[in-house]
Amino acid sequence: MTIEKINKIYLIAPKSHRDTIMEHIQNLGMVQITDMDVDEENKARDIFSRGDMASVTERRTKENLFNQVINAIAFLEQYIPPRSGLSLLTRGPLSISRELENKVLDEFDFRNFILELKDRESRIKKLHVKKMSLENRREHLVPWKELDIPMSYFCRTKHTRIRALSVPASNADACRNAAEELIDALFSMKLGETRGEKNIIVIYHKDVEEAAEKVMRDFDVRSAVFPCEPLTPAESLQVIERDLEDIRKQVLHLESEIRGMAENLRNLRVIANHLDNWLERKRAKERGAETANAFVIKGWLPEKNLDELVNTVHSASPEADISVTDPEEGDDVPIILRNPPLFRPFESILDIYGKPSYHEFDPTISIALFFFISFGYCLTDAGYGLMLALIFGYAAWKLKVAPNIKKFFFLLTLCGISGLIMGILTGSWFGNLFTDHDLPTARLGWGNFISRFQLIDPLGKHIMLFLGGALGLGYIQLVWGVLIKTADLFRKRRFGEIIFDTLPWLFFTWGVAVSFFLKMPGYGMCLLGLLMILLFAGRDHKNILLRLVVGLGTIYNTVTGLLSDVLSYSRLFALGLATGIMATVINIMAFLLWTLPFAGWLLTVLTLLVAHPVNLAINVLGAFIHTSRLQFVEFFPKFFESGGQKFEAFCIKDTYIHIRDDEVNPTISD
Amino acid sequence: MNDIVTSGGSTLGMAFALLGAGLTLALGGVGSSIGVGLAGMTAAGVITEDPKKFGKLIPFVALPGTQGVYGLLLFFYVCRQKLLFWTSTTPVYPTMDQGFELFFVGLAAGIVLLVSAIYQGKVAAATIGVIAKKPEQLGKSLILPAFVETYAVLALVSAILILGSLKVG
Repeated sequence: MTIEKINKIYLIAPKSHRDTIMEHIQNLGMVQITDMDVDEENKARDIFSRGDMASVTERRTKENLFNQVINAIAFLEQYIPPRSGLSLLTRGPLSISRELENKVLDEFDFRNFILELKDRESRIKKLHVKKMSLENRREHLVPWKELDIPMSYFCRTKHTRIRALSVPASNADACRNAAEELIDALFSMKLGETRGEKNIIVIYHKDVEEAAEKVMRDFDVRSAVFPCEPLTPAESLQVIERDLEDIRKQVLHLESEIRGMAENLRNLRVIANHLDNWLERKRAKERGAETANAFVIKGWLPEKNLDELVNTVHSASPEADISVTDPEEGDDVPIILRNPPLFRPFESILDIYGKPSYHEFDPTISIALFFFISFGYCLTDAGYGLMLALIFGYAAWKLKVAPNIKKFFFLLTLCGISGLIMGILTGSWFGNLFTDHDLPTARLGWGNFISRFQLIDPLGKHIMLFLGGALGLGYIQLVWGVLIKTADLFRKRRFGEIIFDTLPWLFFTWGVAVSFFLKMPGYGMCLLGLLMILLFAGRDHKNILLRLVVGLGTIYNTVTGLLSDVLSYSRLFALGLATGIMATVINIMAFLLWTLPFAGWLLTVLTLLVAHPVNLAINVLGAFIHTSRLQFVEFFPKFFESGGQKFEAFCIKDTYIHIRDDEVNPTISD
Repeated sequence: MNDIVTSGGSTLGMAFALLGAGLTLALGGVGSSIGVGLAGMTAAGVITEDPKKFGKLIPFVALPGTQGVYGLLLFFYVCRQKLLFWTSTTPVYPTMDQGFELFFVGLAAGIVLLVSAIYQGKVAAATIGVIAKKPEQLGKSLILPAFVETYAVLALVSAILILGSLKVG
């Protein structure tokens, strides 16, 4: 409804109180700290230096430590997965009590623990490397499993060479012929085939080495290299298997040890949180400035929280001074929106597009109204609306999710209710499930009840009315957008733009609407509006001819713009009908199965149970996207500038673990 | 056969009408297959890097699929002219003129569905790249492919309007 009033504050206090004051402000969580421009401040008197630079080394050390803790957490999470999926949704993120947090901070020796963890990590890594090399050797030996001589025989003998060779199967015959031709007294023995290669053992005299090498090169022959062990390949493989098993056991042991460290992981999270908040505070201090004895912090504060801040700061340091000023023109003021709870879910749509800037109207209420109706128009099915509202209503009520996601769930709940209302008015409940006399479900007799509330029949005689409704809604929303613009201009006392820009547009647009009922007055208004545009749109130009040309161009844009903007709303009509028709199609197809023997009814029910939710999902996606688009593309350009930044308070963060103040019982809730 | 062909109705009219219905179904389905395929391939690439983004990517892959659904919808809406299985009553044969009307409605809508689905798939694939780098921009990225879909929706609107005012038999 409105944008919260924000003040710029300067806090000046003795340097000796800085740590305490900053801690208090962080706990309060109401101020957004901004950078002090030290050079700018020094223009008057050269007394400032950047805040808290004396202890930069301390920050570096803590940052380093923080990174180590984060890495340790990431390492542990490979073995102890954090809550995710359904359990995260139903139980929320991990949390502990304040009391336990203090205990962990006092007692947990995380430096030592991280060292231990690193040791385990490096042991696992070493074992892994060893395992890889063993597996590599095994790979190498497997083709020679059937060779029953010790591998040491393959080391050089006095007069002969013994080699274990792998010949590509396609080359094998040619290779043998070539070898027999070139080499005398060649002994060869086949040992089988692996992966398209023939494994053979050859023995030849040392003197023909050169010829042998040539054959091997020519036919892509690989020669196996064996270790000089007095074991046969099979025996060696057994040793390798034994070693691998041993490594596997060691790794399992180490991993099970690590899996038992859930409590330490939780403690690490506490430490990470603590360090994170310390660093946050430190950075906030550095964003300020300081003199020899005092420090200054600049920030934004919602006006209503001023007393609270003053009390908090004075309780820490009575000497502190807080000066408050209004934001100046050109300041990038952060934005907090204030809306009644029912409208707050619609802030999510604004979040997608971008927040309003500080001196604008908050359009949330307008969006809420039009988004609500438009979404219902797109869904237009009572059954689907009810399903959507129930699913997301339950989710918003039960699931422990971040506030902005909860807000989104509420939004979808409201959208579902809107679809329900539109569905009741058009008599569409899962399409024609209860109203079509050809379907067995019609025998339930709910058709009469449904048709009692049905006001229009969009698929039958009221099809044009349904289309007209969508276009009418668009027309109203567009006019409303320009009215907001007019009010905004009025507030800013820019009357020229009201008279020469928005009023002519409104005259023309209203004239179009009036002409539907009263021809001549309507046309008159249109003409008046267009005439004003022709004369005034190009008022920045001195040259009268150029001015008229600009006016004509603007007229063209106004007319086509209005037409295309309003026609764009016809998507509401199409999507609205689409939901009902698709649902009806599903019903027809499902009940085609009804007459099948034996389990026909079961197939029908299953089809309905699967297809309707899928159709719901498609239509909700479509409805959401197209309704959003209407706001963003047709509505917003009429008045909305956006470009505001979200207000981000300097506060206690719970990125790594949630700390509860309420509970006394210090048990792990996981 | 002749006894169910009502006055002026012809089997050729029926054939053209069903051809129209089939074309809108087929062109919409083909377009969506290509579009969803494009988006799906890009999404697979992102998932290789970061499997956690799967949930966020689903809408992008699904978006170009709507043209196929619109095609199916128009298919049934054409058949609803008492041609086929809409009701349990016997089919009504359209005249030659009506058959051609239904044929051209189906063809025109089908062409728009085909092309818009392909281009929507391309835009969806590109915006998946946005999600890969800036996952927080989900909302904005979802709107871009919807711009293309506008024309599929317009085709649907006009087709429904024409079909709504046509009465066969």
